[in-house]
Amino acid sequence: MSGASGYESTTINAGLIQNKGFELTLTGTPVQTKNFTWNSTFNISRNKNSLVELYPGINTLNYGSTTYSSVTTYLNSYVGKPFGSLVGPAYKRDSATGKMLLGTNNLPLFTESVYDFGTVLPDFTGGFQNSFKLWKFELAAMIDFQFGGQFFSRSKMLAVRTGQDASTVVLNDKGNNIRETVANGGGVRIDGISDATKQPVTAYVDAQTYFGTVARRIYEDWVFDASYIKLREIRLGYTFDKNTISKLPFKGITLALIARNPAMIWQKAPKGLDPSELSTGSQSISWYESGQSNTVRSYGVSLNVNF
Amino acid sequence: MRKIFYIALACIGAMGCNKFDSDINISPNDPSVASGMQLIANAEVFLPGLSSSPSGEFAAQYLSETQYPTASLYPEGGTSFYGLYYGPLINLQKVLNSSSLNTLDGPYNNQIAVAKILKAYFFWHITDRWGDVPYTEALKGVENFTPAYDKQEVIYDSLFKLLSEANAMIVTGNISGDIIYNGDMVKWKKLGNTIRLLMALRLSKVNAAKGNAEFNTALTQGIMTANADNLVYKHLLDANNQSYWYGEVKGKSREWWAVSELLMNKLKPVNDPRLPSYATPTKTGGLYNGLPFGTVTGMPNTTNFSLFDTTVWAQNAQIHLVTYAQALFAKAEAAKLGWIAGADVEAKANYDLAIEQSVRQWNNNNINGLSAMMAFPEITYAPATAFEQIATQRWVHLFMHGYEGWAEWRRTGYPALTPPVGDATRPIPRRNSYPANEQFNNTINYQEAVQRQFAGTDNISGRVWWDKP
Repeated sequence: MSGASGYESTTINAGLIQNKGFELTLTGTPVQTKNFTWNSTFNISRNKNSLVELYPGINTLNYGSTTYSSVTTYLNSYVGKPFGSLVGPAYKRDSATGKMLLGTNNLPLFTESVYDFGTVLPDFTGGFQNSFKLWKFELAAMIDFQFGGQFFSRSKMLAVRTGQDASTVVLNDKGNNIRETVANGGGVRIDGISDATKQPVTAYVDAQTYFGTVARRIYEDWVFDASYIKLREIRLGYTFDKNTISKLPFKGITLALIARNPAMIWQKAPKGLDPSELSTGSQSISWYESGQSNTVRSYGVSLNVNF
Repeated sequence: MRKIFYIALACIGAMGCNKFDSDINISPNDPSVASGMQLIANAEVFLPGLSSSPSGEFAAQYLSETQYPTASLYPEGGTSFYGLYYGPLINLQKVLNSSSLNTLDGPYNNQIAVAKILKAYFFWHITDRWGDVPYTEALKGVENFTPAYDKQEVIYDSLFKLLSEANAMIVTGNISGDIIYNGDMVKWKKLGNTIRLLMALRLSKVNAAKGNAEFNTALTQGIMTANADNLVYKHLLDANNQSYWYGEVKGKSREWWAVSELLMNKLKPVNDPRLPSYATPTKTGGLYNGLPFGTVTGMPNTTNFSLFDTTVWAQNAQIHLVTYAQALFAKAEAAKLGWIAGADVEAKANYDLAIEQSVRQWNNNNINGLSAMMAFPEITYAPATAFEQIATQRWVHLFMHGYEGWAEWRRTGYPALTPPVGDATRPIPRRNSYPANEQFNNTINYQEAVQRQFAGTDNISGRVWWDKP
């Protein structure tokens, strides 16, 4: 709603959302012998979501917004599209070639914060759990995964803007440090099209000024695919059965070593960002991350005693 | 067993829950109703925000950025007006919509009149910054989530009408709970007419006849006659009511702002007695030195340039919003324009008095150094350069009231502002762009407004209706 109505927000029956999808779970015991058992569960689900209609007179539902350095980005939903589009400023592009348009100072031009980068919702999510039991040992591993979905990374953006990201300490194609002054052969090389003359331009611009624009005013480079495959947990256990511990007043004891978050097997987003643990404050949909704490890997020992 | 459970469930369902007290949704711990004067007082709390804003200072080029030049390089991008609608204006509208108000707080008419004056003042500020904005259809809550934009001309007419109604309806009897004039309705009446006078002058280029008529009506009905009549927001020595600038400079230890070279050049050469009230001597050398606007080199420029003075950002700073001196400058210009009688004699008298009242306002009523300054040829009233002198001295007077200084610069062109030295390609703004989220919250109305005013381009270079080259 427009703030000119005198109100910031209201609670209404916002619209109609259609979800179509499936969830598939396969469970089985591929191998079972006297001393060895392999149990396996595979789960995958897909949900296609579409916003069918909104409150009359409204075509856009603004779900969340965040402002940093005077630039506001949004999570919006548009009629006819999936719920939850990332919206922010993008590069202005030449309509014919798709190349970025440059201003008179050779810096990229950018749109207002209205460009729809697409939905944050994933195409597929699921998990794969296996346990192997050999004699009295049991090894279990839990993998979960997501394909599709995306998010804004402010951590990455600020790392670049403040010159702490590796991409800001490189050589340009002249073989000079981009942090050198343009006059000394430094600077970041930009290829684009001049907005004024519509002619192709290749120019070098001061690195700090360049990153101060693309890592502050333009969000296109900070949209990352949230796909990942993650080893969520590994557990190795040993069970002392009744015969072994007949002198103790227990029916059984299980001792297990557990590792949580041991490894990210694959992710599309740059290293250092964890798409499996995005947290957008108190909002129920995670659509940006902003310097959140790193994911913690933990190890533990568990002891189960049965009486 | 299972059967019993279902039966029990069915019984609970059938009984329902409709015997709650009617006040079940009213919190006993928070106020759920506000009196008219409480709503007005809340709206008054938003007044200093109309002045205390770095972007306003940059638009008028009063201050330069010492460390992180960004906003003073005039970036494109929307600026939100939402907060003014769902902050003060909705509260004022609530008062205006009420058929009854608590008359223990003062006469009904006077409460309504104050709400009208404040509403006019807030909307004047909004339309001058953005151009056409929602007015007629605004502030209707659930009845209209997508209010149409009114033309600025229509808004000006409506605000003149509001101020006229306010003036006419004020009766004897003060109001309580007013944190601006402590309920003094005589002062409210003068304020309303002074706002009308200043608004009328805004039309000097676009519709001089209308401006002339409104100007004279306002004069007849009675404008401010002393600095004691000024609209001043007095911050307190209290973190909950402290000045914006104190929170920035002291609270966040930001030495981010120095007095611009342009302003310094208007003050120092004529020994302007207001200089020590505006600027501090440089940390190195103890000189008065202005920082060229939009400087991007030599950061941080905090030791060799004069930061803005400590009294300006004091915790209990007084924010002057509508002042007697402004009214006098307006009268000086009106005499020169021939809107009021007296020509240059009248213009000079008002110009001299305006500067004196400005010095009194800024220097605790102390006018030491005033006559020496007035003797400088740049300052002494000269008929041939009077428009520029009046506008320039008005601009000096309006220091720290960036949005107003900027509006008057847009109208008069004085003093000559220049693009930021760090990026001379950037134009000096002539308006604020609309809030970016209006493009999707209020798409059709937004597009229509941008199309009819700026041929489809919503940027900071578009001229609002009254801003004629």
